[in-house]
Amino acid sequence: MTEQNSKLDIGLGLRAPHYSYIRENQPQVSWFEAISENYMGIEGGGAGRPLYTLEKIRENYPVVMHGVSLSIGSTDEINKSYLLKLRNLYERIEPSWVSDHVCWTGVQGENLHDLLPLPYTIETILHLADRIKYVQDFMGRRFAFENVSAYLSFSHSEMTEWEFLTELAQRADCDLLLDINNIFVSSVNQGFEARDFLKGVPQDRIKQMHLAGHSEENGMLIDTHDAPVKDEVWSLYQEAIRLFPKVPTLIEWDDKIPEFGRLLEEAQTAKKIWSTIS
Amino acid sequence: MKQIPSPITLSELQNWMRWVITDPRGVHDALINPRPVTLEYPERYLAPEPSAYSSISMNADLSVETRLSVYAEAYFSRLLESLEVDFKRLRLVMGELEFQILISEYLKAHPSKSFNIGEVGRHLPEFLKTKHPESCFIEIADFEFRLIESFYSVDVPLLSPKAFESLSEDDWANLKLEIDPSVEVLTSFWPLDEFWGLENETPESMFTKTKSERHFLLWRKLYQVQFREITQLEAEALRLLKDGISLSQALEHIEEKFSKLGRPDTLSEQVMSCFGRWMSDAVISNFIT
Repeated sequence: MTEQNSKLDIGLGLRAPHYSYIRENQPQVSWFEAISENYMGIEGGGAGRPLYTLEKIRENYPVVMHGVSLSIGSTDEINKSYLLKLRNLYERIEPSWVSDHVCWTGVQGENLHDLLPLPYTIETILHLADRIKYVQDFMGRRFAFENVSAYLSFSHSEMTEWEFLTELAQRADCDLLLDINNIFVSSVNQGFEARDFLKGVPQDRIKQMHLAGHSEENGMLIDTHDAPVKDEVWSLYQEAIRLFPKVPTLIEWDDKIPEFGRLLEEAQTAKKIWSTIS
Repeated sequence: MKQIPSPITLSELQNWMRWVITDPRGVHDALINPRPVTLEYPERYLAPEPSAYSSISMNADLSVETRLSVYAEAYFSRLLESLEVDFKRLRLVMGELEFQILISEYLKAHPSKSFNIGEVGRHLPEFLKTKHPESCFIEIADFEFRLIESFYSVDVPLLSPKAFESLSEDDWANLKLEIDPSVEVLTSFWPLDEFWGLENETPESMFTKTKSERHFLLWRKLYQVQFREITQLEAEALRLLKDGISLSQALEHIEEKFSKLGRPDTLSEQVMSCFGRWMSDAVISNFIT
């Protein structure tokens, strides 16, 4: 864990329905994570009220920026205009750190607006490492990359996901954002042992963790972010905190968003676990 | 670690997955018939070669089709949900089912090309012209996307009325007003004011075109999008000023145009009265002398 994030503990995902509550009540929250694309506006425009609100919240809280559209795993060229907008946003917000996902979101110029899985091959690692290095150089900062929930796996994968992430982080010299719910969801959908994942990733690269809810549909777990964190995921988080003590952890809740107080309850549960390892 | 020759490249894998996830027929039909004969948008239906089907791990409990369908269903529902929010008035007038059909057709012609999901509907007004050329749907969609553009327009600092106090007569003669980037002047035979306040499902038959055009102003003040009806004269003045001509030239144009229409000769006074309101509404963002 780096010095920069050593003071942050449990954060909350910043979502529009809570903007007013946060600004009016300034609740006790260690930090917020904001989705970068929500503050980047549209082609030819600015970012309007969302960015104004984020800047106001930033005056009182540390903010981390989390992207969903970098598409670092795509075989399309990296979108330079996206990077420029992202860099401008970082300069305005001065986030504590930044992150995106180990995935691809589109190809051939199309955006599928989803976090699509990659095969765990050396070809993919080389492809990703080059692009991550380019992005980190361009942005002048290090990124943390998050493991995504996967509903399928590839028969030509050459290694496990945790081996893949370990090799990637080393070759690209980037950090990792461990999504504990995603590990659990993928472990059930793909049939691996979630605790092996935790034991297999490098402790010194874990910048942040995510916790969220999921649902079950047609025999598969789906990463819906529309419910409380499940007991199995809390249990896995206990193991994660034992392995990666004091890593800042975020509660994500993106759909069927409850009152802010309900999010604080989830954060309190996480804080109890987070504090068990000193 | 040793690299093993892969049966499919990453690029081939992604191209195939993009196709199977976005094929409008759904994963099942796409896999059964990967090269159908279609007249419209064939690129959405034709499977790229090579197929990546065998690269997806088989599992006794869940088929490849089921696994791919999770992504395909999420693709459509995510875009639909976003467009339902961005075009909520259009959905209320079209009805839920018709709106869904429209979006599934629209996405064939205009798949998302932007990192921002809020841009997906940019071409919807144009697309509606081909599907419902006589309907109010076109104008509702155009109105709603302009709301988005106004909301996200570039921020500029507020202009204080005091800035005008030091202008000389010569300055006023050459004065160019810069209109705030959020300003949209709309002209329509359809009742945009009724669409603006729409909260419940209301069929198209409940709206009627007016005999003469009406004019409306959309703009953003203190980060909130505002809307009001304006006169033809105010609309004309704002359009001229947005085109970058000076205030005095705009007044000349207006006098020439409206005098021919037999309007009273107090036009300059009317424009200057609009000017006062534009200042208080933050419609003017700057000026050049």
